[in-house]
Amino acid sequence: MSDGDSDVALKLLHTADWHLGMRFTNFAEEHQLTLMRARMDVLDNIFGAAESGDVDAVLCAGDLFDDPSPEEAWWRGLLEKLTARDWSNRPVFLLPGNHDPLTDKSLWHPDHPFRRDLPPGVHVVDRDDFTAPLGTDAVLYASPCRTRAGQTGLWRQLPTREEGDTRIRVGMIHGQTMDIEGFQNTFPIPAHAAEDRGLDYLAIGDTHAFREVPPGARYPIVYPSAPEPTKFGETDAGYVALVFFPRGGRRPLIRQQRVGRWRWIERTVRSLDELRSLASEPDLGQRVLRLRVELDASVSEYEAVEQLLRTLGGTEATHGRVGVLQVDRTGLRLRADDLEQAFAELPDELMQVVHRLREQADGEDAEAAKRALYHLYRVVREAR
Amino acid sequence: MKLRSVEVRDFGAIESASVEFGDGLNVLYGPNDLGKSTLAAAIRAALLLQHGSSAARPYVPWGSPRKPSVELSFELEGRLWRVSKAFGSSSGGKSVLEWSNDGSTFTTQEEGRGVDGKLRELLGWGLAAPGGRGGTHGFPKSFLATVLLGEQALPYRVFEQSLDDDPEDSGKARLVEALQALAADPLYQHVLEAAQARVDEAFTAKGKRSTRKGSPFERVAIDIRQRREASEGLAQQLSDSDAVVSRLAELAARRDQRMAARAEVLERHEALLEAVELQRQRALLQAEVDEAETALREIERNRDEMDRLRAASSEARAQVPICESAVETAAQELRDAHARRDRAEAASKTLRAGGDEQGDLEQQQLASRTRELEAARAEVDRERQSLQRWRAADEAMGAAAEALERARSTAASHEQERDRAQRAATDAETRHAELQDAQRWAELESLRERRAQWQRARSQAEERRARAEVQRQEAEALELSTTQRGLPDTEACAALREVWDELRLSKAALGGGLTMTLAMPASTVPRVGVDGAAWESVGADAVVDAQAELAVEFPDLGRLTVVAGDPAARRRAESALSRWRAEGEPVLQGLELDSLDALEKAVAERDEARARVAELRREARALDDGAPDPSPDEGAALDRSIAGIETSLADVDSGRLAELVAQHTDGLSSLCTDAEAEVRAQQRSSEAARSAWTAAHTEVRVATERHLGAVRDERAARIREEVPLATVAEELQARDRALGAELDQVRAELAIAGQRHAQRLAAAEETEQAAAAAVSKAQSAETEARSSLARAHQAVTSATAQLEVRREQAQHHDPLAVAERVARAQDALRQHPAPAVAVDEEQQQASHGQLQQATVELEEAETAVRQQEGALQHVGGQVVRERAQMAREALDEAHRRESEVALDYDGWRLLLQTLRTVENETGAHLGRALGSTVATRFAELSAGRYQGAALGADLETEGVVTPQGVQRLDRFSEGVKEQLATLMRVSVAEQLGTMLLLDDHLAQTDPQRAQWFRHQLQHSAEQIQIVVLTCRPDDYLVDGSSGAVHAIDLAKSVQRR
Repeated sequence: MSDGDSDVALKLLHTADWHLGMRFTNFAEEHQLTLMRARMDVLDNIFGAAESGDVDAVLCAGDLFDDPSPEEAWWRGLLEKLTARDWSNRPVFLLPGNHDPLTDKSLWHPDHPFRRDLPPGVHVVDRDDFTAPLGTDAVLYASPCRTRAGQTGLWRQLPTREEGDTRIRVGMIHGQTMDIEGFQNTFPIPAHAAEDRGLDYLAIGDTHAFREVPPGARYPIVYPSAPEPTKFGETDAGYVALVFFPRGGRRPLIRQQRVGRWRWIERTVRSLDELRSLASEPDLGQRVLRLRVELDASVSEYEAVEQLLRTLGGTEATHGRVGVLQVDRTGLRLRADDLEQAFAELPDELMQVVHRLREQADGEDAEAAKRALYHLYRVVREAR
Repeated sequence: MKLRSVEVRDFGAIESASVEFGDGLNVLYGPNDLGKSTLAAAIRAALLLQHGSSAARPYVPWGSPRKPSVELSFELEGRLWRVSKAFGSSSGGKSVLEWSNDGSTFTTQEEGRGVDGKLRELLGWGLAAPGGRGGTHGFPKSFLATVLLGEQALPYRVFEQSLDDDPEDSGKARLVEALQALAADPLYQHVLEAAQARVDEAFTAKGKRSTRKGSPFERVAIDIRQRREASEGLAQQLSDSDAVVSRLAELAARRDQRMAARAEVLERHEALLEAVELQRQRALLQAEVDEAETALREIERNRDEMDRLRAASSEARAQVPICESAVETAAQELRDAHARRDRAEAASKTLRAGGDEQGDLEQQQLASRTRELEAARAEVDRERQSLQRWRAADEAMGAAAEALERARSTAASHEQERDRAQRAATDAETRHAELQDAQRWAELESLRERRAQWQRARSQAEERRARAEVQRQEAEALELSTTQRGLPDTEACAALREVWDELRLSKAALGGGLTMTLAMPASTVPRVGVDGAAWESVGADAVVDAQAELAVEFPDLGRLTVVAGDPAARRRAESALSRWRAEGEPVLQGLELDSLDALEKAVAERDEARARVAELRREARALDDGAPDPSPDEGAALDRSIAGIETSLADVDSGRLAELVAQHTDGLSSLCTDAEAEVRAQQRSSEAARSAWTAAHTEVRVATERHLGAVRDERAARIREEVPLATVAEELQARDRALGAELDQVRAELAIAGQRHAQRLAAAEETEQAAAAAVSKAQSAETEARSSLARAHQAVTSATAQLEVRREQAQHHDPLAVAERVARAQDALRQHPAPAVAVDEEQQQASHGQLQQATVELEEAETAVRQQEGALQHVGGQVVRERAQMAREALDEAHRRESEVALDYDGWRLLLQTLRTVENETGAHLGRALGSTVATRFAELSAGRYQGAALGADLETEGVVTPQGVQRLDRFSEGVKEQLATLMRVSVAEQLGTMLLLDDHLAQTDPQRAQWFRHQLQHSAEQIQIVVLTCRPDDYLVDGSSGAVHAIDLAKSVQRR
């Protein structure tokens, strides 16, 4: 426990939902790799924050792997990062979640090389009544997920406060606080769980946004969020919680600290100017951008759009400005109204081709005809 | 098509010949009259001539009965074909066409007349089918047959033919197919090639989407397949999971139903049990009421009995003295009687002996009265004792009242103390809250300062970005200005400089100086051109000087041009000029520059601008790479924190908080901790005061109860109701005093009676008898009185004993408590209303049975739910749902990509189709296509003198293109015509990718151009097979010939007859 700061009795770093090894199959292969590696890279920020914050312990509240038996690269990578630091005076507690539950075949099993090779100070919550001291005046109670399907009453496995017990009591489980509409509550945790069990702080994981449940509670239940988002819509992800327990049994102070690099955003552009404006935005290299282009463009505008999209997304030879770009062009339509100007001074034969395609652009095969016009425009433009 | 071998027997002048052909250039050489053209004719005959054709007659050996025969092997469309023909009349000739895939085993394809039909179909040269148009007599004709197998005698017959003359369209179709890409405008061709390349990437020859490795559709198909498999696998898992969930939901619903049913049963059962319990409780309460009432009644009865016994006792006690008195009286009377009798006897004696019986009697009466008074005084003494008990009870009541008053006073004191402690705790809490607010205020101030720092950092970052953007815009503008002019790069500029220097030097090398002296008739006015300058008319005797070129034009006669320098230097100069015109002038004209120096200056300026652009971009990147932007999240988090604290402090006096913070800059936290400790201490004090007050209040209640008991005791001890104790005491004292006075008076009277004794002696004796009788009577009365006294004593003893028993019982009775118990029990009984329906044992058992049944059913349902929950663990649950959703999105994304790819390539295909359609409709101008190739080569061959052949749409030759326009063929020499014809034939063969047979095709060509042709043919032979028959092998076989040239000495292969 820290001695330097007389007002603070205990400092913790609370993190969860690393989802190491998670695959992003709806992205291109190179981007899949980028996003998978990002989940491993962010661990350096998390562990660095633990060191720079001089916390007394690191609580990792479940779903650290996306699967209970991940590929070796992922658990080996985590093992290397854990082994590279000294945890003997700053214990780390790893909690199996519903994605990586504690089973006989999981990497949490004592015979698994990951578990065997964990450095001193790194502990796996492998008992329903897991208890560990956090110094002399604080204690951690935790209980692991043992299945993917669902477990009720996990929180009840944390013991209640006995009369006369004045220690700081911290709980750690994985599950849902049942207050988010649309989320399945397969591992339910009621909002009064911390107070009910006499816990000064209940560290949980599962949903990927930073939240206190209920907000401002005397006995808070906290989701620290996933340190890197896993999908679009996870707007409040990318954090860990730094928790400061003041002396005198007062409510802990919770600080939301950013550790993630990537931000996942969805944008729709409806004009060329909007697209240009987007292309000039800063920090695009740290964005996972799902871009929907809804635009009726002339051939020249279409070419400009494609050029900007190449600038944003890169090509086989160049990196794009956006870190990871996913473009939905279904709303990008070609107008055939400025062809005269675009194809001025073409040879007669090619103008005949243009006229024929333009006629088809109003017919049954309109989209292919417009695309053909665009191809023709580009080839001619490049040839000149 | 490639020739592989030919075997000839008895064909014209050839007795036998055997030649193996190689790829590339085959040079078959031999002296004149060896049979080279006969060999070429044999090849043509094998491919074109029907074995029974009369056109084969010239090849029948002189004076020999043998039939000319040829066996030709060739590769076509991936197969090795062998055609064997023996020419002769219908009875002797024969034809066989065979094919082989391995070169050793042949299969017959056709025999006899079918051979030529099949051959012409295979060749696709526009030859008529045997018997069709084009004639069956002699060699069939077509444009391609002429081009590819042209005869030696008329190498340029190709000019006399066109595809339009072909009897069949296959030749044109092949050429159209082969040349179409060349038939259009270069830009059109470029577009066509681009479209074709993209279509070839994605579609098969039949127009279907290509699934070969590397094709875009294959890539997206693999992607979709993989994603679909993953999605379907997960969907299956999800389906399994959903099935289990569905089953689980059913089971859960069933469990819920059973739970509800059990709850209903349980509710009924509990209602029943409640009713039973109510009944039981009511019975207990009723029993309690009864018992309490019985106890109360018993107490009352005991009290009544005690009262009765006390009364009886009192009465008996009262009777005792009465009886005693009566006994005494009787005894007294007996004694009196005895006495009177004795006195009478004595009086009699006395009297008789001198005594006074009358006096004695009076004395006895007075003595009796004395005793009565003494008894009355004893009663007064008893009453005085009762009065003393009353006084004691009264004093006890007073003491209890005082104790009650003291307890009330103490309770009031504790109440005040409690209120004071509570106020102190409230004050401490207020102080603590104020300090907490001050802490939050200090935190708010800190956050505001951090927010301001964050805002400053953000402004600085925005300023850097703006500066970087300005740098970039400046760079872009500068770059745009450098690229807009389209200046060539530095290397290209240097290359132009080399061309220009070459032109300058080559021209300088020509400068030898020319002088022309004219001596003409005066009527003749020639015009001269000097060194390429404009024509000028000169006089008939003029002398004209020039550096390199002089030309003179004589009206109606013609023009004479003289050029200085040797031919090689001229060609070099022409070549340099040509290169300059082709490479340099268009650049300067395009840039509207008048010199190469100006171009070089512009390029140098452009390079400087590019360096500046790079510098600006480096600076912009340096600005971009400056200190990182403060995180918007941090700002938002600060705003949220500030807003949160501001909201919490909205109703607080901020001035007061600021003052507190200022006063306690460093010790606020410890003050807050102290205040919190003070709160807890005051709360403890308040709690203690509350406890003390509660204890005092309890003491008041106890004192009150004691006071009430004392009051009851005082009331019980009262001798008389409604009369004060002092009054009673005074009355007793008065009575005592009255009795004393009376007793004194009786005693005085007794003394007087003695005086009268003597007077009565006389009567004594009389009285003695009466006294004896009275004694007897008194004895009876005394006996009776003693009996009465004994009964009275018995009654007193009995009543006292019973009263003692009752008193003993009464000591264990608490009538108030019992009364309260009765009241409580009655109250409880009132609060427990009787159940609406009475429940009997049978109903209880039935209900219990129903509950057990419902419980068993519920446990069964719960077991089923748990089993299904166990099954759900094996199929994934929420994790699989999330992954399935992701897999579906991935598949949708792949489908979107497929649609995009499909649309993209559909666009390319449609573009290609449209290009083809337009091309076909506007006419497949094969002449234009082939013409460009021919023109390039012809211009090169002629050093620019000729610019190609003017070819029609069907490759009909219209003339030769010269700088002066298209010139008719007949205006050119045989050499030029055979050279042009050869170029055309080579070009056509190249386009078709087929072999070309050249039989002494450059007989009229000078060695210099023959050398050019050698290079050209070697170059072309890299693509196609060319068979050259020549008597001048040196034209082709020189040192340095490439390995692709196969030299075949026909002198060794041909046996001439």
